[in-house]
Amino acid sequence: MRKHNIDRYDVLGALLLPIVLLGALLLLNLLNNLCNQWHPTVKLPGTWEVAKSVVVTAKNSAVWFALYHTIKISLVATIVAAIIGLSVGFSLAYDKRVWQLCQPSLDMLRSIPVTFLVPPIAIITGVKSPLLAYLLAFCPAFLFMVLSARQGVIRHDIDRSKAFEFFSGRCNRIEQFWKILIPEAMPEIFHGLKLSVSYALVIVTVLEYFDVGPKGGIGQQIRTFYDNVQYAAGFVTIAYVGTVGYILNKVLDLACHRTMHWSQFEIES
Amino acid sequence: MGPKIELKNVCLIPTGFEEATLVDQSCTIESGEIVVLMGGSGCGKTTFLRALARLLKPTQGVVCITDQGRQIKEDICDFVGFMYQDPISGIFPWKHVRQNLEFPRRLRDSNAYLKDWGDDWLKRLGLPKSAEKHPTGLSGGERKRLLFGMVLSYEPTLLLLDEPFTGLDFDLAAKLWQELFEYHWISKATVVMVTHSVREAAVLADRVMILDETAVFNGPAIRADGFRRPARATDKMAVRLEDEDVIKYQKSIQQELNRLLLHMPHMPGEAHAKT
Repeated sequence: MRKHNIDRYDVLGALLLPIVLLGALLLLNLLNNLCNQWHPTVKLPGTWEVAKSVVVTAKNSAVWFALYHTIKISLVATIVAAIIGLSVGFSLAYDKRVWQLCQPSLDMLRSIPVTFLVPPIAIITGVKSPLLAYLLAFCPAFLFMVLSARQGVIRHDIDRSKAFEFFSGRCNRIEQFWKILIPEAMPEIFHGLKLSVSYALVIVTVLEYFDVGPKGGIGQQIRTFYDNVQYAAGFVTIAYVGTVGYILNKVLDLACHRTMHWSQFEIES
Repeated sequence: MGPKIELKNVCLIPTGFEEATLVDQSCTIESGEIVVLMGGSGCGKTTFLRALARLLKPTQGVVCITDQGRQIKEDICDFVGFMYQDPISGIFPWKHVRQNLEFPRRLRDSNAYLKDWGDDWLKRLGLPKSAEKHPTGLSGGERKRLLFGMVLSYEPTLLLLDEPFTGLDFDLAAKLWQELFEYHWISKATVVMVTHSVREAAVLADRVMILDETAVFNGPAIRADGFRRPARATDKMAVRLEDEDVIKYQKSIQQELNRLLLHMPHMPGEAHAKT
């Protein structure tokens, strides 16, 4: 198997991450100081204060527990969305008429911000129910998976499918599906998975921040820090959420390279 | 023994095109014959080949495939070997070269022991060092050789080859001509092959068919009858590159092509043909 060589620009990009976060904080501080010249505002925490808070927050088990809680919901929602979404996406790719029937609804659904769905779903599940977060994280992930799976299948090489028929001496669509279509759709599927997991994480964190859905998530933790005027800890926790998103994407990248080590395609999202 | 193919008043419109490539053309390819299809670039050779493989349905007329007197109306996948001009369409990039080579036979017999067979064929195709590579890491010529091996592996009786040896250096191409010739000798398969190389045609063909665009207004006409090989020594199973009859045949094909394709752009195979 071909080895996946680590690109120095990948490493450089990863090293730049804390610098970018620090840069954003410095910029915010600069703006805050400027604004203070004209009218008094809440003083933002200084860079040194935030740096100290990294250590303090890292020792805070509540933060880790909250992070685990949020990641769990995001991952479960993404996995369920992937399973159902892939099946639906493949079915839509197989039959043009079914796609024509579903396309308007899918196009409409993907234009609706998922947070708008909080009230109707909350009526069924209850505002504080964990199911609400699962369902809302599921929605965009499901749409991404449906569209990616369909795209992967319809973009496959028709000549290769025909070559498979010649080689096998028969036209077995199930065999063709497993042996040709699935491998060919893999780049698109991984692309969809990366988008899904990122969106699920964002949705769950936002819901928790606004006190919707289950208690004890990282969004709620950030809000608690802000409520207690612990801005430095709040900033650090936001950075943690971003880092989790980055790590999840990297894990999927690695999985993609392992599964599709044969491919020349670069999976970007 | 390979099947016989008859085209009766066939009209072909390739996918995505509005104009017909072939209009009202008829011809016959006899059982066990090696027919080489030539013509200028874009004149419809691949479309013609696709129609024979039933990858493209004629808008008018019929393509009759007859095996031992019985007309085959059902699926022909079982006995057709089709080699695409772009080899990557026929190979499976997620499989190693060896897995690719063994794939068609594995599909037809999942329990077959193919280790020795695979080793032998990798040597014959000049790919023993690439056995564990993925096709994306192969050159264009290596991919062509791999696909050629895959197509022959399951012993089809109707071989449809779209520029199978283009891009290969002469020695390698000659080796594969020999492979094809041996295969044909043993199986008596019907072979229809597209090429731009006059020399390749002269060495392999029983008959050269030329798609002539110059004389006909509404699409190329199939010139099929004037280019039959005068004689072939049938007591040998080897391709003969320098024999007098091959050289004579090559000259006559070249002359005919020059005459028919006089007003056409440069034929890609001409330089090769003169070597």
